[in-house]
Amino acid sequence: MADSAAFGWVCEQLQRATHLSELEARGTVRLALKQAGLDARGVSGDEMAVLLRKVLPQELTQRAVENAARVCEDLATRLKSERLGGSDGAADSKSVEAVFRRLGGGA
Amino acid sequence: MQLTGGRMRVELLAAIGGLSFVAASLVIGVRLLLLARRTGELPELAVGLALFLMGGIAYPMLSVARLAVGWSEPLRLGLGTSALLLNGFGTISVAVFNWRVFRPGERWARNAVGAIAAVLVASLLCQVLSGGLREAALSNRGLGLRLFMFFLGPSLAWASYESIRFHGLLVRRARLGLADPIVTDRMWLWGISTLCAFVLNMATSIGALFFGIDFAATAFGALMIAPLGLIAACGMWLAFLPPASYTRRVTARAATSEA
Repeated sequence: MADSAAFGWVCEQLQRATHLSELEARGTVRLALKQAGLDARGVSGDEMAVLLRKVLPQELTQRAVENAARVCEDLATRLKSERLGGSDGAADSKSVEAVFRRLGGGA
Repeated sequence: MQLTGGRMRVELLAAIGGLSFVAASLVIGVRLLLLARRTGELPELAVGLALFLMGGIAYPMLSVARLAVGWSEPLRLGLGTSALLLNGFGTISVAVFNWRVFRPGERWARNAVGAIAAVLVASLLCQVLSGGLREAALSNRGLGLRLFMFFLGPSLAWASYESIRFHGLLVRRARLGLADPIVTDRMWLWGISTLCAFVLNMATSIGALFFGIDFAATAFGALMIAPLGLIAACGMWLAFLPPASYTRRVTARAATSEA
């Protein structure tokens, strides 16, 4: 299974906005995803926006990226307009969380 | 006399544990099957069938077949054999649930379901060709039966592993506000319930395979069945039919830990 569009977009933009190489940018985002209990294949745009605001600033600061918080906030805002927002409905209804929500009587 | 009283108390405890497991499996199994009819989705059908067939029907049916010695033998044999088949079918349903929910795109998971089905069928065939179904269904004897009971375990262990692993991921997501605390808790409860069922299954299988003992009939076995059966029953109940007060408590606890 390929990496999600949101993951690819954020890595590419991080590479452009910072001194990080492609490998470093992808590795940094993967580490942040792991910390948040997410993975590159299934992460949605909405989840990535939260990651950009809450986890990545610290990760980037540790890698000597200047203005890490501002870079991340900027990417999170632009991510919204990229329409990588949520995952599509059909895939979402089959996600582990959606199944367990239904099993307990939730919609 | 005191020993007899103690023994009776242990058996009563085991009966309470076993019966709560049967009751929870029946009620929740039916509820999930009704949900599956409404949604048309495979996961609820698979887990509903597993609970209803294994815990709700097969477990008490096999006990009746073995204990109701006054009943006609063909009836007991029919009940016992049906119970074994239902157990096998329920186990395959658990494996299908694991595959379709946790590993839908992975070939190894699909192959694992096939392998579990194949070893269960092979074990039953082994029993038919060696000791016979009568020995298995009525007397709890035979190598094929032992292997069959043993191979009911991997599906449960797999279900437990996937749920507890995914619960760990959800806990991390919850810290960022990316996971529903009730779903996170449900995942944990399902993992613990299937773990209890797996431990009971393994203890019974190992006792029978390597030591030739009927685990449930020993005092130690009864002492294990009681708490594990109760934990599994309560876990399933709180996971799939949670009272409003429980969900409120889970939500409040999550809100406190986020703050």
